[in-house]
Amino acid sequence: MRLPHEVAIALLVEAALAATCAGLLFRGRWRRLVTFSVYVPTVLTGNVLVTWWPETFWVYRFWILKESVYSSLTLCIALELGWLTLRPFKGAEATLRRVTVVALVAMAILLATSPGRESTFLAVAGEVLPRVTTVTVWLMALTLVLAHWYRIPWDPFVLGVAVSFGAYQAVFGVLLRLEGIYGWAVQPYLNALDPPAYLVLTVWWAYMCWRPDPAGSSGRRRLLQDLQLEASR
Amino acid sequence: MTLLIVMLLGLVLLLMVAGLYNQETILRDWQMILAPWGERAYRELEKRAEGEAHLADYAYERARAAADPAEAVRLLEVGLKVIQHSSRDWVIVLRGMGVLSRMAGAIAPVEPVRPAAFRASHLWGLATLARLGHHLLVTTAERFRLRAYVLRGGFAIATRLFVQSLARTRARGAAAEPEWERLAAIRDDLRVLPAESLRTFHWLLVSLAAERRRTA
Repeated sequence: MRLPHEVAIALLVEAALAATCAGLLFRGRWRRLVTFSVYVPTVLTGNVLVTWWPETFWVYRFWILKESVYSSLTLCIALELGWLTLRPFKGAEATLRRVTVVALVAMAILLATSPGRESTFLAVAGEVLPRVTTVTVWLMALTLVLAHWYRIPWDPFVLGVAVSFGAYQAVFGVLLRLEGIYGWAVQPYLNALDPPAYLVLTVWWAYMCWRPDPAGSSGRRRLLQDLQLEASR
Repeated sequence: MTLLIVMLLGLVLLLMVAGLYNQETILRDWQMILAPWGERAYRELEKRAEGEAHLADYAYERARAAADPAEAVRLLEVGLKVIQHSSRDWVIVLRGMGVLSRMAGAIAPVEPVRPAAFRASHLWGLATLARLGHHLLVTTAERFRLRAYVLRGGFAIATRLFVQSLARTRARGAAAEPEWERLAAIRDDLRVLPAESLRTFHWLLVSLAAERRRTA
């Protein structure tokens, strides 16, 4: 049985996600990061199902399914972030390709060596998901490092998503990993800390989707036009 | 536990780089790359290098001609101030070249710094090592950055050698003659370093001009 404050936070998250969806559509920002625009309604649907039909969807099996889908989409967001930001710049793109291959190979090795657990939930939540999350966070961080090294300007909206989502993913991953190490004892902490953190994240996203573009944000677009690379974006 | 640490390190890196990000500076650098500013900047650098070399030479020649060793040391100290100031400027310029080289799509092939051009053994050693590194690196951009890095190191080493030589003279007492042979070698090397830096800048300009043609 979910506690009333947990339901309240879940409802607020849904409201923030709905506002984010609307912002993506009405402000036309869904084009700037397509995988993110797929991720947001997917999470919204998952949350609505759990909140409104808990007897069917508030079960471990569904949690594992939805978190696996979310993790895969998050990894896709990390890949698109790099591709979108660095691809128009020749030198950076070549390095990004190498970094991505190394990251994906590392993830494959991490997943292949993840130990089995007594319960499927602990195996997925405590072993598999933290490994995928680690690679995702590192991909986002390395994309930022490469952009910094090659002096590449970011779209402010995309940068906002990269930093906020990367930071949240790290927090979420740490909590999951702690559950993997200490078992069920960590579950109450995960339940207490993760929903508020996710609420903060979704409210920030809603704000980012609706706020006008900051002054000077057209700089990247102008630069790409100057370099005549807009078409390849 | 290792996974936990790796994840937290990723978070720290992400937040650190996000904190360093400055869109305005980056766009300004790109505007500079895409504008035809190169020739003017090259001439200005050339003129400045000549002026500073002339000042340092003047101080050195006056010191050499001074009858009193204490006066010679004082004049050499004036020369040192000029060298320190100009070396600091060149290090900044070379660091900037390294940054701009990352933004060019391709860098024109560069040559390594010639060890034989230097008289001081430290600089000769550095240039020899750099020559070896030059052949081990794959891309011209990496070779360019190595060249800029070596020249930056060269300025630091030459200035330090000058300082050490003066300190030794001072330590020997007011009547001691400065180490003229060693100082002459450093002075020659300090003529080579700006000339090589200018050549590096020339390669960068050629690469950036190609970038402009590519996008025009």
